[in-house]
Amino acid sequence: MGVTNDWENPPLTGRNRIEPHAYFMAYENEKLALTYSRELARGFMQLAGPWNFHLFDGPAAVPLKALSQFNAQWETVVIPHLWQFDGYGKPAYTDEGFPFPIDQPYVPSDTPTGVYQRLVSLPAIPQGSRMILRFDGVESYAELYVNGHYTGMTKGSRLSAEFDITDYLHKGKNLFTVKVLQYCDGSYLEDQDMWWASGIFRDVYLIERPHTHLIDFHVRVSKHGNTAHVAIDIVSAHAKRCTVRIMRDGKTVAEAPFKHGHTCLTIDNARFWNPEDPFLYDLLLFVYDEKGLAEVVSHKQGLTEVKIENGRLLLNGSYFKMHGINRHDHDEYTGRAIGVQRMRRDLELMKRHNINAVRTSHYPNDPRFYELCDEYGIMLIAETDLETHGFQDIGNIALITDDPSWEAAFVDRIERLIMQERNHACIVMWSLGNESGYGCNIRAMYRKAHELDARPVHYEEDRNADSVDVISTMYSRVSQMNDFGEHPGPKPRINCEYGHSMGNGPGGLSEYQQVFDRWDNLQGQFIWEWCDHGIAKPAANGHVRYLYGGDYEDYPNHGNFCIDGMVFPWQEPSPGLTEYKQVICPIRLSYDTEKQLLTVTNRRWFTDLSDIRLAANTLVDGTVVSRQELIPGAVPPGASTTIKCLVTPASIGETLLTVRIHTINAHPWCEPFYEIGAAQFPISFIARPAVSSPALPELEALDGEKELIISGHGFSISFDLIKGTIMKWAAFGRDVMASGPKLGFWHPHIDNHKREYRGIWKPRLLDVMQTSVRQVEWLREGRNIIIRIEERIAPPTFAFGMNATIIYAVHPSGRIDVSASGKPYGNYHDVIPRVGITFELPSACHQVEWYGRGPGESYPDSLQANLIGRYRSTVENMFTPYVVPQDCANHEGTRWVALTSRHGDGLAITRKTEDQLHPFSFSAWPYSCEEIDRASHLDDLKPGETITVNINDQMLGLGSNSWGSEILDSYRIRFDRFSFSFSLRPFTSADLASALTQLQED
Amino acid sequence: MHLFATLEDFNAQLGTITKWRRCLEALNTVQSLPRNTAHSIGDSLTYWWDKNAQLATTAFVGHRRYLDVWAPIQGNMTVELAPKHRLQAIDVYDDLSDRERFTGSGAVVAVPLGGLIVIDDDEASRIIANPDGTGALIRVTVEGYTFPNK
Repeated sequence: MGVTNDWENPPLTGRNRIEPHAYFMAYENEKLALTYSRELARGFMQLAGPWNFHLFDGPAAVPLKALSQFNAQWETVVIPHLWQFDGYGKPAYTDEGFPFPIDQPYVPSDTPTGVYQRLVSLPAIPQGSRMILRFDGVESYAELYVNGHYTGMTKGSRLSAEFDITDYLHKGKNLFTVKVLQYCDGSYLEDQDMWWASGIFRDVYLIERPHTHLIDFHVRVSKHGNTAHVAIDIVSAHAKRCTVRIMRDGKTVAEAPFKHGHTCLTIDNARFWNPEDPFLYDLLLFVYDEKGLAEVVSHKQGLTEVKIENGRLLLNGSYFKMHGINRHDHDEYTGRAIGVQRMRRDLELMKRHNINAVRTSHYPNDPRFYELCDEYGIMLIAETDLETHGFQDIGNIALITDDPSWEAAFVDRIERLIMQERNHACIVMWSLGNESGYGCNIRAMYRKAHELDARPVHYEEDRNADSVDVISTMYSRVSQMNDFGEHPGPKPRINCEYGHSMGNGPGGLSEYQQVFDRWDNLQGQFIWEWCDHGIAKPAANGHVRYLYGGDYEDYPNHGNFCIDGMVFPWQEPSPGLTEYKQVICPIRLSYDTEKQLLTVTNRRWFTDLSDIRLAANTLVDGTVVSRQELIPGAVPPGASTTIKCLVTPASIGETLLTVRIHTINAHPWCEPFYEIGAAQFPISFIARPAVSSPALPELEALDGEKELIISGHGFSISFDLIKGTIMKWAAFGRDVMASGPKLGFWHPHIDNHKREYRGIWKPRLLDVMQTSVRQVEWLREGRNIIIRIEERIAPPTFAFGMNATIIYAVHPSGRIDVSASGKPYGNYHDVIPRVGITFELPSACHQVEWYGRGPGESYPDSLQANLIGRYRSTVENMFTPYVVPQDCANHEGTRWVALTSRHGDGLAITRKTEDQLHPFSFSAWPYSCEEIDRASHLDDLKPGETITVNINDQMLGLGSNSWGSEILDSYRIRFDRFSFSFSLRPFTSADLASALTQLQED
Repeated sequence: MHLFATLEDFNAQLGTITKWRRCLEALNTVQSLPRNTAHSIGDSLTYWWDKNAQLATTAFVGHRRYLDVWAPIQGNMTVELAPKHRLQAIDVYDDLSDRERFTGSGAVVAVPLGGLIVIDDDEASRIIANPDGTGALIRVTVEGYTFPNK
């Protein structure tokens, strides 16, 4: 250890790297500048694409000639990439632990080291010009060699780096070589919850800078009424003079020369930027030399001023809240090496789901991402590349955070981010990093941040806001957030991570939102997280397997903890995102049934509701019977209006009012009349009276020793008198069921229940409870036959369980009423996943129609997005493709559900006649519970010969306690007394009326 | 209800458990924070301090997911508490605040300066405005099967 390696020397953050400055492109003239095309910038040469590549077992294994001689025999990779995703080594996933021994600042001597080479043909360099090579992301340590000459070094994986390579270039072919180490001292600062992988993962390109050029610019906006004062500072090289012009829709609104590198412009009647109206001006910087125009720099400039006044964050003087999300870069095929189209679709999806803010967890993004956020209207907590989480495993997460010898490394990271991105209107605050403890280096970062920019600074682990401007916590529970609201401090507060979206969930978002909405000092909440980090591995059979921690034999690993997004790896919304969209819908509705008044409240922060149209639908028994369009008008932010909305209750059946909210405006993220939310209100319910049963023959019963056969009009049912359930049920010449009902308390384990699973369920073997039938008896009661089963459901090895009674009442029509009740014994009274019955249907019965919440899945604490209606789907389509299979496809608020074949033969399930006002929930899967529980990946599941149907009287809420909030008390169901009943009604020829008509048979 | 005459007693009995250790940490920190300003330590607890008169409520307040810990920080504190089932509920339980309120009467317990009292989740309590003084309220999670968060 006598020699200090550059990659193990924290104060040394780079060599020959150009000082950080604003990211911009420069053009030869104004018209080119207004294209904003990088490809048309002066001397821009994209170097992403094929490079020769070789992977070595550590930096010492790289021969010197590999840095100076082109190796044509090496393999070719296409950058941007992470080499592990191209088969060079393997990715590894840890949430917090370092994947190597902690010995800071040292890293393993055999740290994988990749060497990239590319021959680049260049023309002669124009006289006086400088050629700049720019990397927008190299993980984690890079040395650059040009034509064999050492040119420079950089650290900070997700921070851009530029090198002036002019002096090493010549006309013709030039050899560019980049040596990249997977780990360096910077890795101790980059322990984010994501895949460990390395390489040149963002664009690399050449830029020509003429002798006279702009070096940097800094724009600051202040708002005075409707007037914007725009102060601009520039740094230039060799400029005779510089001017600035600001244009709106092609017309100049302000223009001024610079004096001593500074100017100030005034824009009257300014259109300020905000996330709801992200208007951008064209800002053009003209740089002149003695001969005339040397270059033009263009920047799309939004006008924003962020301030804190009286403990509240203000954007352009207006109060606002951030309804946000934490976003990592992720693509299922390329990991963090994402393309700009993926970024664009991410932002479009966010806007379509009412999200107005992103925390760039936990590192800077590609510079174009900030431009896109300006364009789409997404506020940013712009976070830098910092997390030292792994030190928590040795008892001091702040070990290097509070060590002054690391200060330069910490400060470098916030300085480079702010210097590069501070001209973006979308940034409402800076963030110093994530989960790195608190100490002197955080304070130094804070000071540097404010030296460079006036916007507020955030850092979660300064929990008492000793330094930072915005106080923050993560995963604080609903009532804890309420405590913060009831007892506010002098600084604004956010919840920077909550709603852990691992697998099915999160639940409880609605309650969180009520608290966020209630208190002014709570100004933002950010879901963890945007996208699952699953990696796609195509299989020969055409299926794709999505991999997570451990699937690459990486050890130690945190398994599927990286599958925790609201968007599936294939960039489609999960049910959690659909729920979030509704919960944060910026238009709130309430309805006074008596006065027939609809109140519309504008929960936008900057714009009125003149673009909003409401489609008010009256539904009777789930079917739309009338529709009216309502126009709330230009309701200002925070205000409400009431609109007369007449609804005629149906004389019979259930009447509901559903109001769907549309914007008539087209945006880059949506088409006109896009639905941004909906609400539903009960109007009336008048039960349909029972109808006298048609004349039907008496039931016949044949009692065998082990079997009771009941025959009636077109059906026969065989009851197993030993097992106490239906053995065979035939109606209209076909099998109604593939296996009979079983009472149960389990459903496939979901990630958000893992605390309960590990802490209480698995230790008590609740997942393998056994049913012991103690007694079966039958009797005739009027025209019906009653079978009564006494059974005990209990786990092995324990002395607690449930004494249950199940009663089947078979009617002459073929309807079976099932009643179940239970009384626990022993010492277990805690939460359970569900109370319900499960049976199997033939696989042909995969057509599903129901009246209840839909079209998507819903759970007791996650049902705002799915309104009551009449829906159709198939069992296959209802199965939510969580990367790790788990309970899914539940539908709350169900009045009835029917599963049929394509010909319409099947089974309808309802409550009993006298219990119609109590909806139930159901799910139907092409797999069994055990198969889903066993599967670790979606492609492990193979559809079986039967369909599993679950009819649930009670379901446990989801919560989000895969990491965070436990299930709220109101959504907890316990191993306690219960009693419920259902009716099972076979029917044929799609004649639902026959199944749903209440017959007087008792 | 668990009454501890001294923090040393509390530490000896519960100090090995993260959330209770954090309770002591909160008590060590609370006076350096502005009055009536809630802060948190990890996900274990929220806490603030105020004058007894400000902490006092007319109704008994109970919780289901958090335990109230009352600790005088200047003068003594008097707490009236009772099992919930012996009180009359005056509103329904609220998930948003984890509160349910009751009327009735209970046992009056004096908490000495330097001590603290933990109210169980099947009890409800209220602070008596007198004696004059200041105290801290720490709301500690009932979560305990596993506690992996920070």
